[in-house]
Amino acid sequence: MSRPFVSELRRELVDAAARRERRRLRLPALRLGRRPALALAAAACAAIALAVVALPGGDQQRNQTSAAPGSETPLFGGSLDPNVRYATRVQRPALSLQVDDDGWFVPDASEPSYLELQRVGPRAQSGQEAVVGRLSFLRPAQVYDPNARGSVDAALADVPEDFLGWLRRHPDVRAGRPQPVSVAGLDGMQIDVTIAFSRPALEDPECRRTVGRVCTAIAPFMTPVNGERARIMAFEVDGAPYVIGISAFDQRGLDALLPHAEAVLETLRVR
Amino acid sequence: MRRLSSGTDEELLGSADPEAFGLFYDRHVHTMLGYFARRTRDPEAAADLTAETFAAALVARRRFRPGPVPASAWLFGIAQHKLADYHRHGSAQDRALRKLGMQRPPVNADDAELIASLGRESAADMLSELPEDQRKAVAGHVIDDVGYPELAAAAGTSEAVVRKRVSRGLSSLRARIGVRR
Repeated sequence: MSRPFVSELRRELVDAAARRERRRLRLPALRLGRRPALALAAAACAAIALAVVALPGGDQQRNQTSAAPGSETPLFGGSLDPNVRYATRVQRPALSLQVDDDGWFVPDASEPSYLELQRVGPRAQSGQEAVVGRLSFLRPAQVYDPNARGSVDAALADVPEDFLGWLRRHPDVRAGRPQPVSVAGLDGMQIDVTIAFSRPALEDPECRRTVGRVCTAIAPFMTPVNGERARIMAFEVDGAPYVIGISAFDQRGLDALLPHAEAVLETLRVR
Repeated sequence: MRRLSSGTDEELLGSADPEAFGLFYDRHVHTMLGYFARRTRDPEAAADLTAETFAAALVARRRFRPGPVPASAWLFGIAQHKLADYHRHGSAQDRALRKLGMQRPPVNADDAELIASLGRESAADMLSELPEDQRKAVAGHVIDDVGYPELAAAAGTSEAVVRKRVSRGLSSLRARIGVRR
């Protein structure tokens, strides 16, 4: 009878760790030239490999890992590859887009009314990539009334027809002047906003529990922290508001994020 | 070995002793199996993904730097990527296993039963920590695959409220397992 999976996998991993450790300890000797012929042969192989990749045939082979031109890859979440056109599966309206580089991550693509592309920065000290900003797509069904008292659930109200006008009047939002904007053939208005509060008009208690920070509850899926900067674009799609947001934790972050987010929006198709 | 076994996850990942990675594996393998079993409902796929996640962690462990984010969260970050790849491709990838020259060990009937039960247990354990309204919404929508309109009707509330409960419940669960917001 075979050994249990859990213990067999452990044995294989520990063996692999031992092999890697042995190899790691051997590598400096090779680099120091104790076996120059082998090192030269390795360098020659690398040069040949580079030449092959640089040839037209090499390019063709590399491109086989990307989606064929014009084709779309269903968006399931995770890290996004540049040069691949992703199509959402459940979002309404349906979206398709491409990212400009490998710095984008989708945590969840299963919510019909909301999609978030997280911009990840260099690995932090922890070794984990940090989220430095977001490009989000929201079909707001409801908002939180900032004048309501009690729980956030009790503050839910119908989404106003003029979402941007309502947002500009929100007590925790400092908004600039609205400007016309056009994205993916949709004409709308955009405003640059800063979230500013000493105490939020309505706090999202979940935010404090999950990320340990105080957030203002503006609408479901829109619960920013104090100081957050964002460009909010509002359109009308199928007779209801549709919102695209580009947000970061401060102005510097937003300035760095905007070119990347705009590059993504240039590829956006809304159906 | 006594010193190793009492080390933190971060110390185990940073150790050159191959057995240290084994101990790190011991601490997290059941959680990983349960996590993948719950998300795939397929013990074979859960075994594939668990093997690939630990192989990727072994390959990348030199890049891990102890900091405010615990090693378990780092491991879950890898797991989340592997799961996304699985959904994207329709099967688990074995890039890291191949890089290490490993093959995923076979899963026998007893293993499959264990993995399936880990999925059920960890789901129940994690859900039990949520407030009742969120627990019902997450269990109904994510585990039992019930639609938002049906859940809203059963709870006597609006669809938007149920969506929010599911979203908040999932956010809480992600936070508990250390996955990014």
